[in-house]
Amino acid sequence: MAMERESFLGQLDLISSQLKEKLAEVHSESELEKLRQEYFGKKGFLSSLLKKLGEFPSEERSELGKKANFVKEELMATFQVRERQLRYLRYERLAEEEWFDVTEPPLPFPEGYHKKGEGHIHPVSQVQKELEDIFTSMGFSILDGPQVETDFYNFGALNFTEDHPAREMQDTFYTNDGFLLRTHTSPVQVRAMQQLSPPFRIIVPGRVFRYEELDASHEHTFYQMEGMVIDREVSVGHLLFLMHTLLKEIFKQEVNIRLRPGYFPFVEPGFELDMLCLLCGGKGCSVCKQTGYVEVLPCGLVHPNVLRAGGLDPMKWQGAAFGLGLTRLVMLRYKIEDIRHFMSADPAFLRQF
Amino acid sequence: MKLCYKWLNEFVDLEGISPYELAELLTMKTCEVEGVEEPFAHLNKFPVVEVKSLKAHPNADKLKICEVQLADKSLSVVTGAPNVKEGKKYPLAPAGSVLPGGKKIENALLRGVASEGMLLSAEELQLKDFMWASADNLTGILELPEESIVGHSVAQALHLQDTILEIDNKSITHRGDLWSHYGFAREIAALLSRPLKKDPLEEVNLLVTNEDKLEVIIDTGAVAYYGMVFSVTNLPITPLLIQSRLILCGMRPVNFWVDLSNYVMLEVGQPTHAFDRKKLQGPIRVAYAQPGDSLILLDGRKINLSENILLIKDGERPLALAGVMGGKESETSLETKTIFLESATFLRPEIRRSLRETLIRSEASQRFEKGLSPVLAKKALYRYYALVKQFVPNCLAGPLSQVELATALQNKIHTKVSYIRQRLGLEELSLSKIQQVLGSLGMKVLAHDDDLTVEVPDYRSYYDITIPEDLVEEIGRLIGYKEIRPVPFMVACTVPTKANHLRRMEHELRKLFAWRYHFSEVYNYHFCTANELELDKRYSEKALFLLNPLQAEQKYLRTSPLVMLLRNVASHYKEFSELRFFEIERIFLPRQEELPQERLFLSAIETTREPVKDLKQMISLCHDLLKKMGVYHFEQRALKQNIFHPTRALELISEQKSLIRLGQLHPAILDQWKIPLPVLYLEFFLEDLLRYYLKGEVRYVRLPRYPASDFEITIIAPRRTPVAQILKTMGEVESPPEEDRTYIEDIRFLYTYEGPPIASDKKAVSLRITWRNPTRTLKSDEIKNLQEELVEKMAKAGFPLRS
Ligand SMILES: [Zn+2]
Repeated sequence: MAMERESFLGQLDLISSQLKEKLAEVHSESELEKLRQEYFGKKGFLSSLLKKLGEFPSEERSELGKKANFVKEELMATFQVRERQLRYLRYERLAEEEWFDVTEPPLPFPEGYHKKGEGHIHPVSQVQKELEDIFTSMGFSILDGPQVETDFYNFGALNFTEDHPAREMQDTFYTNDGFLLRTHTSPVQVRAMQQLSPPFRIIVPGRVFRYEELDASHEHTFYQMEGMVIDREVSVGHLLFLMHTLLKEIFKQEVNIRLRPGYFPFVEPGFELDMLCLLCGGKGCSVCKQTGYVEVLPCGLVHPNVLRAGGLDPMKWQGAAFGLGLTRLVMLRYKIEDIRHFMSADPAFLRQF
Repeated sequence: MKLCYKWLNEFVDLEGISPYELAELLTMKTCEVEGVEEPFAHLNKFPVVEVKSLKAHPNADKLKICEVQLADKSLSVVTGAPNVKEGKKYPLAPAGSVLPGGKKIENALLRGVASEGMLLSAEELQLKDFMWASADNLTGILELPEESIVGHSVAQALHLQDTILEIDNKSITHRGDLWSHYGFAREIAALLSRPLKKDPLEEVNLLVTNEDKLEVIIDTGAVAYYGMVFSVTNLPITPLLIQSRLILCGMRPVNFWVDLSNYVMLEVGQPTHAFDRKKLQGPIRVAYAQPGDSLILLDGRKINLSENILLIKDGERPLALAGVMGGKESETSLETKTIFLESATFLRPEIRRSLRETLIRSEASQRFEKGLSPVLAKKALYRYYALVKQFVPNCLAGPLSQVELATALQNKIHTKVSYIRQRLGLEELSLSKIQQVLGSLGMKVLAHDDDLTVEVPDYRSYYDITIPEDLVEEIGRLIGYKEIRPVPFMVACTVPTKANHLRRMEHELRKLFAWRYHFSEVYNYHFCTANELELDKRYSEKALFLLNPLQAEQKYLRTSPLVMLLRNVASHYKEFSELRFFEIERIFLPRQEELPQERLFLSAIETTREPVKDLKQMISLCHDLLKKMGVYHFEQRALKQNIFHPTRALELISEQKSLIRLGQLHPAILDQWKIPLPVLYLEFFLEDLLRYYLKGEVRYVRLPRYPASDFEITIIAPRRTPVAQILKTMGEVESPPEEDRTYIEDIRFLYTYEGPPIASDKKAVSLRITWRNPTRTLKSDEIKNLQEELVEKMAKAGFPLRS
């Protein structure tokens, strides 16, 4: 039998007043949730009533539908208010109900600590440590520098011209107050020259930033390791020796390296250093893109303008520098396919290291 | 940049050097070659055929039967193309071949007539860029030039059979001289020690056949400007070879004037620009934009010009973005018969500023931004003249308009043979070798004993070879770096290197957290949203922010380590029942002196189902950690901070300084992040612990000679009495005295018990005290006294013994 209009409105009223009463009596969020099911759930009072709208002729249906919806929205709003109240009440009662004696001394370690599951050190940290150990054994100091840098240290002192394209907003993150996020670890070359007295040998592992959209092979936040040697006489031969020793230690086997010309404003001459592909031995494979060589790092002899910016006289001091892509090296070593894993905090990734 | 192997071969003999060998040579000595490919190799299998005769198809009006000649045989091919003509040449897809689109051609019967292949359209060959194709050619089959040879491939007939070397532009940013075929040919000639076959830049005789001359004025921004009016009665179609080379180099043919201009640029490296003469009044000016100036570019974009943008103007009217892109209004078309050709040298900083401000790039700007020699501008105009004359001998050319503000640079560099030897590490390098290498690069070398004076040609004098180190590079790369032997450094025997203590501590903390406390290390970004920044208000007020964030809302540099760890938990709690992460990084606080302050922190986060139990464990962890870091005296104090639960948070304090904060996160935060589990958090700054860590020595206590006496008691206390208060009531731990005196060696909390039979507002607390006398063994009645005294003292303080 079809429902009467009056009866529909009456029921709507009843539901509304009942719910409001019940809401006032609810004192916990779990009770509230139960109430929500009871009224707004699929088979709840309100939903069941609304289903009956279909039994009315179309004119009446739209009028009743409007009213019913109005009531429904009003009720839901009241519901939310109550929900918020209860939540704040819960927060307020925390101090009382969840008291905790912060002065209680813990049981001493390890009896006081029972955790299962392994912890892992991030692969970049591990490789960084390994490199630091190699270099300190060769008499290098480990330096750090600021990640938020000035234009002078990041560009100007490194012989980038005023209008060099790398300074543009599409390549570099700039901050308020006129700073930038360092685009390489090279600014520390200049800071080192200013702080240390030559001769010296330093490495600078650290986080760097490039204005770059994320994808499997591009990151805006990644890791590099700068190296610099300042001495009375530094030649391409010295640089070759250093790079050869370094790579031999990193890959724990004999390596073949070669230099090719490469252009970077802060070195002259500048090089790209390639290593004979360890996987195919130079025959060509997917890792070396069929060339037999893998590009490993850029390096060179320090440009006299950079020495000057660091306060050294290029007639008296010479230098060599290199910039190792730490993130890239880690990817190369473990054959990691996607650079985004490093910053993902994904336990499935971390626990492999 | 793309280089055509055959084009290079016009200037330097590449006999015996394959494109791959050339790429290898360039890679090792000059620049990066990204690829070697023959882009139109797929056209090699389509031969040129000549239509000998045409017959109507017996069963279809629109089809024709062609007898075509292919080398020594003739084939019968049916075509529906309306433009097929007897005696003309077309590309054929023989039966069995596959079209670029993938369609396979087979012997077929077309309405009852056999066809042994298919005549092809430009579209079917994917060659729509060509302009010589007449209108029919676009709809019908491709009519090949008269001179095409039957049997040759269509690639050959169209001059598309060439190999392209793709040069990595970034690797030649410092070499303005290399941005052309001739430039590379000059380099390759030096690398191979072969002579150049010809020089496209050599002087030509200018025959002025026209009086039209525009006045040229340089207000600013250029050192040389040359211009000339050219006029033809009929604009020819651009010669096929020129079109093909443009296409091979990735450009599109447009019209005769523009195509020649682009050709000259690809050939000699100087961009030129053709203006429609009819649109110009003169004088032509190189000047900055005025307020309110705007310009519609060739590609139809309208740009509003800021005042420091360099323009070409016609009087006061903007015509073009100087050195970057022409304007729509003065653009040439297939109808333009008279042009004004510009060949100028704009200053590199001006072009770079325009690029930065307009973000518009072009083949021209790519060359000007490297810095070009003004000598080239004039020579390029003559080259354009020569090409126009070659293709349109009756073309009228006007007198040269020219403004020259500077003579070309020819840097003179002073250095020493010994310096070059030392820097390279090639002690045996001879002077004659140096002279030969530099000579092959166009430099003049004057030697006087050890001293060298090197004169650099103009095309390498701009922003390129300026200092002795540049010569070291030139000699090194031409000789080949493989000639250089690795030499160990002469290691100075000085004091040990300066240790980086903070780094040592960092690595030690990693080991502790990973291996002793079972947390995994994560790396996190610095960038967060305004909401995330607000989460932990401690330092959020003056956060640094990015002017150009990758995502607009993620513009702040974090001021709290918490946010990112919360993100980590939010992303992974569903998959993993327990999460324990730690991170060592920096947060950024407002500037101090020169730079913002960067504080190195360690933060750790843990999801839990038993927050009380796990918080106690975390406190235990912190005690262990502090001891490992050399902090032996510290206390626990309640902490009220908005991120933490109101009672379940504390800090560990030593010498009035808070060293670690930890606790359960406030449920409001977790509700906000929709994390349905209690979460614990701890955080400290490494520098706060550093001084303890550096002192960090083991505290040795002399071994006792007489036994101690332990006493465990359980007292009843009001439920909310802090344990610290009860411990304090028991007494103070003392250091061993020298004399015969009993002292408290240790006071230890053992555990708390709440629940029946203890009254609900009370708790039972078990404790242990240890007494010792350094000089003798305690007697039993002494011990009994001590115990009774203690029990009495506790009862008096309101902590009766549990009965
Ligand atoms: Zn390989």
